[in-house]
Amino acid sequence: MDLLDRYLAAVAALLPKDQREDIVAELRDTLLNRMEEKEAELGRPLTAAEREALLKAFGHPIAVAGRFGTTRALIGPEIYPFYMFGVKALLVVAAVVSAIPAVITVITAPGQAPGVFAQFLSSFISAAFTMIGVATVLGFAIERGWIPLDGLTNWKVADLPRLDALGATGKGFGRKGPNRRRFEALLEVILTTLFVLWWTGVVPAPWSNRVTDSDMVLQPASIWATLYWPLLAWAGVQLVSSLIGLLRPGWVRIRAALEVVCGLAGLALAAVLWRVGRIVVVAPLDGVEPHTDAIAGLQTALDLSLHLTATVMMVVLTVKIAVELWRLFRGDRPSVSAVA
Amino acid sequence: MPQDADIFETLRQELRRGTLILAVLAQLKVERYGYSLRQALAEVGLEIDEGALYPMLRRLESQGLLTSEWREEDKRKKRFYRLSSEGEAVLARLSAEWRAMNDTLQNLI
Repeated sequence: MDLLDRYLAAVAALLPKDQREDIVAELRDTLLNRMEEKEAELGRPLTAAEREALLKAFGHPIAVAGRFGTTRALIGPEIYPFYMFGVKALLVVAAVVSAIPAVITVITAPGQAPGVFAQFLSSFISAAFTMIGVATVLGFAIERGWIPLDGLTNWKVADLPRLDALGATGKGFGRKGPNRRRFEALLEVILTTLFVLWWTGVVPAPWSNRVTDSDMVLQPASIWATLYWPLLAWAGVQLVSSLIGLLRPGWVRIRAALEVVCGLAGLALAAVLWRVGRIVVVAPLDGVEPHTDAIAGLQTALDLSLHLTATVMMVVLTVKIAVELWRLFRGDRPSVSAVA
Repeated sequence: MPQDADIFETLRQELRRGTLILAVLAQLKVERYGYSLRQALAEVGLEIDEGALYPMLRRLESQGLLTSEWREEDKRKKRFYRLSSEGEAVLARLSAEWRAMNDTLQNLI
């Protein structure tokens, strides 16, 4: 087998079967023409090195065969902006999910704090790569139409939120742009879904109940059993509201009404938790001699943290409810007229 | 960051891409095989890479704008391409479009 045959065989192996013979025959003729042209120019037959150089100049077999294929981008320009939007949201989720166990470690074992950043980084990198991989596979499937996504093409201008002209005039400075609002809604959807999956036991929580480097475990207080269904219902309403923010951002009043409901439910929850005063019970590991002082100290710290958190929650939720009520009655009219 | 020369080359290739199809269609009013088509284009100053030419010919044929036929010439089998009747109609329309664009641009540049 001479160099030309070897080269064409390498190209042929990469071509679609039904066109292989046809394309290779045409390439053979082209390359022989080239060689004859070169020989005529030099006035002598080509050496093996010159033949090889000519074939090399024609292109690598993978590149040559690729030109005859139906080349398509993994994720094309139509899908790419949505893909990037999703990837950014998922990176934020990965950061949040990775930060939760790190924060718990800092609270429960301050001595371990120096190693927390490495723990966070390791967890974040792993979660981020997994999520980007999943997003890429989804983008690939959408690009090829395996997953129909009407929302990308079948959208209405009327569904867009009525927003200021994004501060281009300076008047809208500080207001959230449409992308940011949708990004936040997407983030809410992902986080709420993760919460529901964890709350219902579909996926395990990404952290251990054991206090790092100690013989203590954190157990949920009995109040959580009482609040199981109310919390699930609250998450359901929040999910609906977030989905509206993501898919129908123009439904400002409906979303505001649902947010008010969620805010009031959150306020009630914070009040109940503040009154109960304990959401986590510190207990010794089974079969281990309890360190009473350590358990009592940690329990007191956690109870105090709960009171503080519940108080802050009530203040934040009260402000949020006021904002959503204002949006509910105002309908989020633009602050400046976009129409001259 | 791309250099000025890179930017120019990218824009030049974008500009050429559409015009090459028009040139290929115009050259195939007469029957030619791939290599002779490339030579004919080179003679009028339009160099085209074979790596781009052959896939283009196949695409135009699959779109019904060209017909092809294998024949033996100089003791070698060659694939001859020619404009189909549909290709002739498309070429006429593209030529009119090209002239109109050219006239417009002449006033601008």
